[in-house]
Amino acid sequence: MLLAHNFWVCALVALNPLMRTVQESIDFIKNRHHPEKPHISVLSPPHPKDYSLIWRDLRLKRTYDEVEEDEDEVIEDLEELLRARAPGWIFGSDFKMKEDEEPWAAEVSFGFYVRVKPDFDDERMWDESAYTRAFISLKYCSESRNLVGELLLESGGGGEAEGKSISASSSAEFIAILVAPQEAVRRLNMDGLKEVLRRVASIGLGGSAPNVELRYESISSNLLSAEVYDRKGNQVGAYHHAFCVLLGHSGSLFKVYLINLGGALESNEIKLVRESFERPFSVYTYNSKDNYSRWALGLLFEVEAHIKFSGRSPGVSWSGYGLSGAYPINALVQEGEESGEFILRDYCVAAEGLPLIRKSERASSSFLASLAQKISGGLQLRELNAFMHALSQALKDAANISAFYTYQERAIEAVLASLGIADGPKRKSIVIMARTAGGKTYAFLVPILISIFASRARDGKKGVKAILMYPTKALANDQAEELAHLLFYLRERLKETNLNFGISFGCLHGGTYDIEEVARRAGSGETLYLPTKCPVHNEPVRAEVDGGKVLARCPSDESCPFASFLSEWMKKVREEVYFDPPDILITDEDMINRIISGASKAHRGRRGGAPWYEWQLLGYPYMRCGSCLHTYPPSIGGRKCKVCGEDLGRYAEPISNLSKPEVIVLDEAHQVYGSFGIQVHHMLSLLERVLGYKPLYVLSSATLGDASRFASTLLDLSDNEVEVIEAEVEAGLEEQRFQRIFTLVMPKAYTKDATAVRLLSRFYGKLNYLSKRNPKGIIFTNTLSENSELLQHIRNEFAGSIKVDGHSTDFEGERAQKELEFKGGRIDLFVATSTLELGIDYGTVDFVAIYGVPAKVSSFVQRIGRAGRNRDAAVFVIFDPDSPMNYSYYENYRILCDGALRNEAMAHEVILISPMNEEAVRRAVKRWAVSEVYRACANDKLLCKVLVDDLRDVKERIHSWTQISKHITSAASSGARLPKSLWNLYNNFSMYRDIIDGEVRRISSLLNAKSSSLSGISSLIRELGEDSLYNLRAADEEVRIIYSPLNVRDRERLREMRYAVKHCLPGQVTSYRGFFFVAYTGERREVPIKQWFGD
Amino acid sequence: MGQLALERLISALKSKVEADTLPLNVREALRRALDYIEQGRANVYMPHTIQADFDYPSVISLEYSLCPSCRKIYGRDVSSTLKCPSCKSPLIQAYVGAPVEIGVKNVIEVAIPPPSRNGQDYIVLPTDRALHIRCSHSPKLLKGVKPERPERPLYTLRFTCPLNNKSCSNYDDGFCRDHDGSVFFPDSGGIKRAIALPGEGLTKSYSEVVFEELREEKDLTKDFNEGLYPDAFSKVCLGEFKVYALTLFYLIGHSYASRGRRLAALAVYRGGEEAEALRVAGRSMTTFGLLFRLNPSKINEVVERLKSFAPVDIFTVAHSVAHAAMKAVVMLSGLSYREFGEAVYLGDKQPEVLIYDDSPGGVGGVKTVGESPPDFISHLKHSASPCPRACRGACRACLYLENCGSLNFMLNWMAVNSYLLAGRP
Repeated sequence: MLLAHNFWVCALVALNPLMRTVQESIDFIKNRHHPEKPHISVLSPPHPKDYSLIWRDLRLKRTYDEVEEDEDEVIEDLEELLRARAPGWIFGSDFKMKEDEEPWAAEVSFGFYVRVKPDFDDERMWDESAYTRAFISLKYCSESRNLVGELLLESGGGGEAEGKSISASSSAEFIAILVAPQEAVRRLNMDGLKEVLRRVASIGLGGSAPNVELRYESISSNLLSAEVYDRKGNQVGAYHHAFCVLLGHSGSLFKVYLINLGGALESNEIKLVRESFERPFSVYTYNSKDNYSRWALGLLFEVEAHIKFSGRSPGVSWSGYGLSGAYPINALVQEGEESGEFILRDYCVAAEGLPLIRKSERASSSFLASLAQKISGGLQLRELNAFMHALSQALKDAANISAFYTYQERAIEAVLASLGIADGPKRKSIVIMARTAGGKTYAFLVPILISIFASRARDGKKGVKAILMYPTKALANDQAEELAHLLFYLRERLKETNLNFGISFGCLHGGTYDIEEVARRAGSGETLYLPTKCPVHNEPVRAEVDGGKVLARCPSDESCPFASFLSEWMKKVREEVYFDPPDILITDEDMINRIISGASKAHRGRRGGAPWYEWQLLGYPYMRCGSCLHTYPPSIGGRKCKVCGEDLGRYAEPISNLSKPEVIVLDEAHQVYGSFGIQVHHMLSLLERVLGYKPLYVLSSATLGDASRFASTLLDLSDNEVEVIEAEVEAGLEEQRFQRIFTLVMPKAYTKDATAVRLLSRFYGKLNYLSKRNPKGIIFTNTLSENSELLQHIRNEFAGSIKVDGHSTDFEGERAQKELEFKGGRIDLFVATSTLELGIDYGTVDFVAIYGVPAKVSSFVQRIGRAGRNRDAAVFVIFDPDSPMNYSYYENYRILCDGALRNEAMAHEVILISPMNEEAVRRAVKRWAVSEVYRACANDKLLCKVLVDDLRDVKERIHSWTQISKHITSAASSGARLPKSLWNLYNNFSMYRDIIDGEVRRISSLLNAKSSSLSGISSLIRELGEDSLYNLRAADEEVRIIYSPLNVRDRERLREMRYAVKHCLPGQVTSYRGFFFVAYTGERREVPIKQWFGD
Repeated sequence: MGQLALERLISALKSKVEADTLPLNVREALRRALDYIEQGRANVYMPHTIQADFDYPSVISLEYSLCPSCRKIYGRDVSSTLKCPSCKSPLIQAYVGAPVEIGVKNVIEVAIPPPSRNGQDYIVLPTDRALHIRCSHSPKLLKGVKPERPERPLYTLRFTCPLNNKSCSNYDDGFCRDHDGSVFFPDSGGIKRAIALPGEGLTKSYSEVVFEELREEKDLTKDFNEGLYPDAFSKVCLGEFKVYALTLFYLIGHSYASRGRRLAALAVYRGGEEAEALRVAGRSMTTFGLLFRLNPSKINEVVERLKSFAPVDIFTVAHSVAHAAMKAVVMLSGLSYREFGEAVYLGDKQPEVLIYDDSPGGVGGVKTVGESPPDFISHLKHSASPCPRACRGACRACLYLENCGSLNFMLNWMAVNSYLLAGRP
C-alpha cells in the first residue's frame, strides 16, 4: 500500500534540454538549501494570533493573549518590510466526491523536509544532516472513517530514523493527526489547537463548525528538534517542530490538509521566546562557520502530496471556467498518470504543442490563377495572370508560402467579393480569426494587393487605397517589415514579367521620423534604422539623408536591391507620406483621429514633418509647394509657403483625382474595447462622414470571443453585414516541430520581483551554458512602474553579462528604437509592457516570462504567442501574489497552459463597446466640429486662412468664425450631417440629445465670443482642449496635473478625474513617470456640500 | 434629488463611527468629518488643475533622489533634472525614512494655506535625516545604499562607497565597511523609523460613495436565483445610477505601515477671511451600475454562524460581497479595477451593493454582466470561494482590491463564502 517515499522527486521525464533546464531552475528556487528559505514549496508557521492560541510559554504558564489584535495586513506589512511574505501554513485540497452511498478510499501521502541545524550558503558545502525528511502515508476509508498508515522520519545525513504505524478511527467528521516531539507537546495548548483545527476544517463548509478529533503521535528522537544559535555562534536554545495532517469528509467534501504548526522555542532568553510568539515566522538560527548566515526555522520545505482514490473518484474536471470538483489551498491540483490519482504541488511544469491549421490542398499559385478567372471589371487577363503569378512567387520568396491555409483562401475571396472585384456576397466587414503566428496578415494583405493592382489598372489614380491600423507602434513597425519584404519580392518578380508595376507604402505614427530629425541625428553621429531588415543580407536597413532626400542604405551592400526598392517605394519619413500619399498606409487609430480632428504637430507649434493639411491621405485634393513640397489645403493660392517662403500662387501644384481608401484593416481588433473601443467607434463613424461612404473593414485577431457581435457593435453594422472567417484546426494534430514549455510559479516566500529574478537568472545562466550563446527573452509586465522596478532589479542581477533593456519611465529614452534593437538582436533580454504583446514576430525568442497574469486570457495568449514561433521556447508565468485575480488564474492554471481550455476561456470573454460614455460623446462632438471647420474652409479662398493659422485682421477673424459658427450650427441641426454614431444617440436618447446640443452650443458660443482673438484652427483646438481631442485611450473627464519641479518637457499631464479625486487633497502623493510628488491645491470648483448634493 | 444621497452619506458615516471593527484613527477621522458635514461646514472640491511639488511643508517630503548606477544621493536641484550629473543614468527617488508608529489615535488637520516650515517636523523624513550616511573621509558626500541580496533588499542593505575609492581602507567590493557596513536606523523621540521606497502608498485616501437609482435597464434577479442560492439576492439589476464619490481624508505613513497605525489627515481651512471648513474632494456622475439587494435575514444568519470564528457584522458581509462582485466583473470585462467603483449602503431594510463604471455614462464594463449572466455567476462563485491562502480575514490573495475606497477595511472571505455559497459551489 505504501508508495515509494521519494515520490517528490519530480516525475517529469526530461524530454529535451529545455525541459531539463526549466526543471533545474525550478529545483533551484524550491530547494531546501536555498539561503534562509526557498521561494516556493514551503509552509510557514501560523499567523501570530493562531500561533498564540496553539502554543504556551511554559515560563509564563500562559499563552500570549496580548499579541496585538489587528488585521492580517499588519503581518503582511511586517513581512513586506523585509520584502518577504508568509507563504501560508496549510497545504492541501478539498475534493468533491459524488453524492451516493458507494464507499470509497483514498491513499494520501505527504512528503517534506524540516530544518534542524543551520546550513551553508555555498552549494559545495550543503549540509544534508541539517534536514530531516518526513514522509507520512495514510489510507482513509469513507465508510468506516478509518485511518491507517505510517510515519517515517529520516535524517538527511543518513543514520538516525524513526518510523511509526498509525491507526485511528473516529465518529467525528475529521481526524487530525498531530506529530510532535514530547518537548513540543508540553508547550501545546490543546484546547486552543482544537479550536484552530475546527476553524481550519470549516473552510468551505460555509461557516458551520465540524467535529474534529485530535490524535497525537509522539516522537522520541530529536529528528524534529532544531538547534538554535545566535549571531555569535552560541547555542541559545532548541526549537521543536510540530505539524498536523487533517483528513476526513463532511457531506460530499473530502479534505486533505497538511498543517504546519510551527514549533516551540525552548530558551532561557526571554526576549527570543517572546519574539517567537509575536513573529512566529521569523525564528532563525545562525551558522558561525558560514559567515553567520541566517537560516529560518519552523518551516516545512519541498512540500508535496500524492492522493490516490479507489472505489470512487472525485468529480474533478476542467473547463473554460477552470477547475471544478477540487479546491486547493496553497497548491495546484495536478492529475497523475492513472485515473483517480492526483499530485499536489505549488508549481507546475507542462509542455504544449501548437495546433496545426488546415492547409489548402492546392498550391498558392493555382489558387491565385483560378482567382484571376473570377475577377471582373476591365482588367486585361494577361496582365492579371502575370500579376497573380508574380504574387505567388513573391509569397514563396518572402514568407515561404507555397500553399495557403484554407481560411486564408476564404478570406481572400471574401475581401475581393466585398470590394466588388470578384464574385460573391458583399459584406461591410470581414473578421479574420486565427491563432498567433497563424498567417492572418497574408489573409488580408493578398486581397489588398490584388485590389490595388485592379484599381490602378482601371483608373491609374494615385493616393491611399488601404489603411492598415495597428494598436501599437511596435506592431506597426513589425508589419511594415513584413509588407516591405513582400512588396520587394513582388516588384522583383513583376520585373521578370516586364510588368512595370509597384506598390508604395509608408508608416505614419508617433514614432515615424521627419527629415529634420533624421538629418539632425545623423549629423550627431547617430545611426537611424528603418523598421525593416534587408531580406537579402539580413541586416537592418539604415535611413540616411542625401541632398535633402531620405535614402535607405543596406550596410552590407551599397547597391543592395532591397535598399533601392525602399528608396523608391517606401515613404520613409512623414514628409514623404504627405507629399505623395502611398498606396498602403500603415498607421494607428490615434493618428487617423488626429488627422480628422485637426493636424497635431503643426497646430501645436511643433512642425515635426506634419503639414498644415493632411486630408489628402483620405483622398481629398490638396496643394503642394513646388519648391519644398509642403502640403496645403487646395484653395491656399496667393500666399507664401510657411516653410520655404515660396509664392504658392505661382509655384504650388494642385493635386486632385486621388483615390480614397476602400479598405480599412483593424489588426489585433480585440484591443479595441473599453474606453479606447468607445472612442474608436465614434472616430470611425466620423471617418466615414469625412470619406462620405463606409469602407470595407477587415478585422483580424487571434482572440475575439463573439467576433460577429463585436464587429457589428464597433462598426455599427447588422449581423448579416459581417462575415467571420475562422482558421480550421486539424483535429487531434499538433505541430510537432516546436513546443512551449510552461512553468507556473506563485511566489510564496518573497516578493514577485525577487522570485522572478532568481528563477530567470538561473534559467538564463543554464541555457546560456548549454546553448553557448546569449538566449533571447521577453519579460512582460502589466504597468510601466512595474517595468522600471523589474528592469532595475534584473540589471543588478545580470550585472553587465548580457544586454538588458526595456520600456521604462525614462521618457527621454526611445521606446521604438529599443524595440528595434531587440528585434535586431542587439538586446538579449527585454522587459516590456503590454505594447509588445501584439502580433510581432521576434524570430528567435527562447523564452517569454509573464510577470503577473493580465486580466484577460486573450492578452495572455498574445504574450505567449511571442515565443515558440520557430523553436522550442519556455514560458514562465510568475503570478502576482498581491492580486486576487492572479490567484484565480493560479488555481485554474490549466486555462493558461492548455490550448483547448484557453480557447474555451477566451470564448467566455465578453468584449463590449458601449457608445454611451458621456465624455466620449462630448469629445466626438468636438472632433466632428473640427472636421466641419476643415470642410468649410478647405475649398473656400477666404476661410482657407483658418487652416493655416493666418487670420491676421480682426475683421477677417470675426467674419470667418461667424461663418464657421453658422456652418456648424446648421450642420448639427440638420442631424444627418452628424456622424452616424452621434446621430443614433441623438435620435434615441433625450439625455444624449441634450449633451450633443449643449456641446454644439458651447462650441458655437466659443467661436462667437472669441472670434476676434482666434487666429486660426490651432487656437481653436487649444480652446477646445487639444489633449482631450487627441486622447483616444481614456474616456473619463480629465484633470490637469502640473508637476512643477520637472524642468523637462511635458511636465503637465492629464489624468482621469477618478484618479484626481483620490489623489488631489493637499499633501497627497501622486506619481508621474516614476517620480513622486505631493499635491498642492490648484484651480478648482468648490461648493458647500449640501449645495453639491442638491445639484 | 441628491438630498437622499446626503442622508445616506450621513447615515453611513454614523454607522462607521460606531463600528468597533474599524481602527481608532479611522473612526476618529470619520467622526471629525461627520461633525463638519452635519454642521454644514464642509465644501466639496472638484479638481480642475492640480499643482504638484516634491514636498508639502509639514506633511511630506520626497525631494531626494538616488542614482541606481553610481549610488549617489542628490537633493532637489539635481532631482528635478531626473538625470545623474555623474553618470547620466535616470535617477530614482531616494529611500525615505518614515515613522512606523506615531500614535494610533492621532489625527492631524492639514491646514490650508500651509503654515511655515519652521517648527514643523516632517512626517516622512528625508534620507539624510533618517540614515547617517555621510562618508567619513569626505563628509560632504552622502553614501549610497544597495542591497546585497535580492531576497532581502532591505535587510541586506549596505552602504556603498560614494567615490568608488578602491584604495580606501573601508572599501569592500563597492560597499563601505564603516559602521559595520550595514545600514543603521536611528530611533529618536520615541518614533521608530524604517526605510521605505516612496510611493503613492505613502498617503492612502479614504472615500465614501453613495448612490441613487435613476433607471432600471435589465432585471437579472432570475438569472442569479437560478445560478446561486435563490435567497441570496432579492434583486439584481443593471441600470443607470447617480453616484456621488467623496474623498474625506487620507492616512499618512510609510508605504508598508499598517492602516491602523497611520496618521489620518483632514484638509481643513483655517484663518483668513473664509470660515473654517473641511474640504473633501468629490465627483458626481450618472453611470451604469449593477445593483445587488441583499437578503437581511440571510446576512444575520451568516453573522450569527461566523460569530465564533471571526468578527463579522452586516457591513462586512455586504462589503465582502461587493469585492467578490467587483473581482468577477473585472475578470469578465477584462477592464482594470480602476475602471470600476463600489458602493455599499446598509439602509433600514435591505443592504445594497452597487458596482458601477467609474466614468460618466460608463465604459461598457458592468454591461458585460447583462450580456452573459452565467459567465459572471461562474466568476462570482470563484471569487466567493475560500481564500487560497486560508488567511484569517481578508488578504491580497482573496478580497483586497487596490482601489477600495474604504481601504479594504471590514472584509472577510468566510462571510462572502458563507453568504453566497453556504459551503462549496
